[in-house]
Amino acid sequence: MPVLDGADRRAPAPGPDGDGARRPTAVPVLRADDVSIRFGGLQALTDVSVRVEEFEIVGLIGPNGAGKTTIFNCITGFYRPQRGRILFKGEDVSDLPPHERSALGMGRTFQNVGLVKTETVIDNMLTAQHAAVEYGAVAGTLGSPPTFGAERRLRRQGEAILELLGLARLRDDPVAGLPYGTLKRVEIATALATDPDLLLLDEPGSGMGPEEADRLGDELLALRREFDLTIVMIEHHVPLVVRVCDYVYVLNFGQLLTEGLPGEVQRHPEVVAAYLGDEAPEAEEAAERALEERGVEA
Amino acid sequence: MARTLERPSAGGTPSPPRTTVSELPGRGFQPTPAGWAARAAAVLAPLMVGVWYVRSNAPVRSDALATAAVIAIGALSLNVLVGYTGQISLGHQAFIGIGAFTSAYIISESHQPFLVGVVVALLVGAVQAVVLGLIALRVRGLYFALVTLAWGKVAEQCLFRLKSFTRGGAGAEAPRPSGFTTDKAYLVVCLVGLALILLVDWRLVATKAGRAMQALRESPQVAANYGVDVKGYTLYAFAVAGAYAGVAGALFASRRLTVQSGDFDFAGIALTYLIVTVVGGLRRRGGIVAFSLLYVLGGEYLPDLARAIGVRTIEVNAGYYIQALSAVLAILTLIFQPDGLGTITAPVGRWLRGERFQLAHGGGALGRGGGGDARP
Amino acid sequence: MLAFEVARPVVLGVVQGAGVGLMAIGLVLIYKSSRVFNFAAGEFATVGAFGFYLTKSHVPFLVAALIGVLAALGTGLLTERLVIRPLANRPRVTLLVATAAVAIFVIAFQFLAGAQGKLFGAKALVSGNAFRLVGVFVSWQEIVIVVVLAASGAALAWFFGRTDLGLATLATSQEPTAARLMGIRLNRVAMLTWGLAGALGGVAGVLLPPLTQNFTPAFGTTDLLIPAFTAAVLGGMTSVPGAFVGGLVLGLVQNLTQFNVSSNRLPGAPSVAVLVVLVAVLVVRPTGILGREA
Repeated sequence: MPVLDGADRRAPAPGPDGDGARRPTAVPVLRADDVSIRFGGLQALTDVSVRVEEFEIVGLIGPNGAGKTTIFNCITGFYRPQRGRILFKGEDVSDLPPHERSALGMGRTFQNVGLVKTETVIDNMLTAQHAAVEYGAVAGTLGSPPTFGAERRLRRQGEAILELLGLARLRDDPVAGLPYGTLKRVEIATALATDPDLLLLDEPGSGMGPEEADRLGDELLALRREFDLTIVMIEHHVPLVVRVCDYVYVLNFGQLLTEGLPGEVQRHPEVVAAYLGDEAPEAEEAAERALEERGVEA
Repeated sequence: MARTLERPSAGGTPSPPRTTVSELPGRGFQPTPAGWAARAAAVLAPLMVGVWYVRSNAPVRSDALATAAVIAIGALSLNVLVGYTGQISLGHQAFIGIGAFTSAYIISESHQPFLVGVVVALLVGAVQAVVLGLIALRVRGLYFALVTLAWGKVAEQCLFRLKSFTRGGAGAEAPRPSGFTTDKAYLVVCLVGLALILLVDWRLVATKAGRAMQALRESPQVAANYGVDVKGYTLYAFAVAGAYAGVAGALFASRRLTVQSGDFDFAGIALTYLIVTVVGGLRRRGGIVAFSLLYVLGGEYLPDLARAIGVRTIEVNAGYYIQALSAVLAILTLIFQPDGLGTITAPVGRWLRGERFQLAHGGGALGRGGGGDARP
Repeated sequence: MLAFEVARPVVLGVVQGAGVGLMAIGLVLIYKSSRVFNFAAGEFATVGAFGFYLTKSHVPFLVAALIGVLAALGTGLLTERLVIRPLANRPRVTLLVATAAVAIFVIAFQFLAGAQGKLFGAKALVSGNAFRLVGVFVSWQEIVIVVVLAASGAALAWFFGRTDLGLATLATSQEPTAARLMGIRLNRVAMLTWGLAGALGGVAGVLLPPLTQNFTPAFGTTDLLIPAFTAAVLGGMTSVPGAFVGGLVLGLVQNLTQFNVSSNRLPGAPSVAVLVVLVAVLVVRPTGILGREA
């Protein structure tokens, strides 16, 4: 993991340099090809394709119930789409369970905060490093000597990430008592602890005021540099999206409405209509939430 | 939507007020020499009382302590499932009994040494638990509790009455290891067993497997997102719980010298151990061991107490009164103090390790904050 | 001759199954109102049995039976008030453990009530045989028991299928918030179901022991609880008639294995059969075979 070595980081690949072009690379970090999924009678996604290049920050916007979280769940393996496939760093991961995708380098945050609530912040940081642990489960349980040193390293690594995000003073606090905005930041810290190449953020700015969202934007850009990250984020704060994203996809009613550079998308007539016009029926959103709660087995 | 696209000046790391870990409060606390002396005394005093207790009034008392050690190991086994992983077992008489009969069989039928009996009991216990765990992957929450209940019954009525395995009703013999045949000596064996299990349990929770279990208890989704193989670690938890129970069973068998199917009934083992686990405190190792001891000593001394105050029925039926009292304690624990005895033992433990003495620390256990919710 | 292998176990199975079915209805009602699996249910039956057989020699027969049922009803109500209500909104595993603690509490007191002789005699309610069926005698007692049990089951099915209060109870289980808004008092509903479940267990506890001529402390938990749960699961944990029919199925399964599998070959065959049925239903069709709703 790159935090501690202090090496100089490559600048992230620049986004569009005013010429409006995106620079496709040979192997994109993430490709979702024609993903379709339905739950009972509800067609949640229809042929959605998304492509994310290395070191990009890509925004995913759309009204409530448009299927944004659903596509996240397909990408991270919590849902199995009926059609389409997911390629991660050029490899087809469509059949892998979520924990294997996480181990391959997909980090993710959840809309409703995905932390182990009964544990402390640092314990969450340790758990999140699960895939990186050098020793086996049995060796750990039987107390083999190398595990003690490995545990100390995990702890230092977790503390380093917390320090970097300015969360160090929360280290020993139980997650359950923290305010919502703080939880969102702690969750980003745990996602970073999984050592991701691709970070999927589900509404990182929810519950934040304009200034906080502004600061979040700076932070995301800095994290991209620090951790060599590629980021996809679902976000409702349009100013935040416009400011940090290199590219934007717009979903509406489970379909791709349009895609493009933030400035273009923002002025797209259908986007304006989708945002200002009729919101997707709330029932659909409720359905999506309910399905989400079914968890891993879905 | 007034902003236009503009790349911010690169590299500006945000600078909220920074605290580094080394500045955190509590890190610097070091007990004074007198403080350490007090801690050493707090450890040594109960040990000396224990030694005196065993030496002063011979066999019955050391046997009682051995029973407490066996119950503690069985309850720690339940703790792995109910406390750490959020799975429930109402069939622990099967877990314990299988260990007991396996060990008895290995020692008296296969003529292997005691230690081999313990190890085989541990392995067989783990395997039977994993088989049950495979069902837990398909059948969740309360419904799985039913399966464990029915499994315990099958063990009681079928498995433990198979003549080839348990000699039917006659009972299987489980001699103690040579050199440890007296109650006092056998107590040492049980205490060593308990100490080893406690060490393993400590490392389990301190390393990745334990963390994985706790995460998947709270949310399988979050656990998977952290990279935890939810199914794999559910089975691992069953294997660990089964292994502990196997050891408990092996020690149980040789303490009794003979084991019969009637020794492993639902109320006497499964429910009792569950209640010891709950009152001791889920996820509170120290509390569980402490309550196992109290449970046994209660049964031991209640008759004397009853005689002193002249209540004949309690004197004669002390065991049942302890059982009823423990059930009430369990319900009170669940309602008012989800950490059970751990509320007291956990701060004492931290104090012994050289921290300041303070009562509250971290979130509650089973009762509060959604711990171990199982939905069918 | 099929008399011993089939006819006898079928008769016994139906009679015992009706008792198991009543307990299963109690489990379903409690699950619907409190969302908890009541592991104390077996002890409702044992309390009924104790209430009846400890008072039988002092008071008239029917009064003793009533005492048994009322004792069980009281146990149900107390459990709800003292244990379940303070734990509302806690994780369901917590509630489950609490009901198990209630069971062990009650069991301890039964042993205290008769710690010397573990076996209690239960004489026949009425004597004589009613008729012969495929070579086996069916006794009046068996007829009486099955009629009372089946009538109780039918009354409950009617109550929860047709009456306002019954339907209100079902409404709370599906939509607690909406039910509260409509003025249904959840605590009352919980009291109703726990009381009813207690009484049902009591009825089973009064009527079943004469079949075997004796009973032991905790027999409700050791002998009846698992079949009753399995029966409720067969009904998807939601269907009142499904639970009763499930009870009959379980009674048949247990008695047929009991009579046909030698305990030398496989001891405890009925318990194995119950486990097989339970796991099969849960793995293959968790919504239950006999349930109407998922």
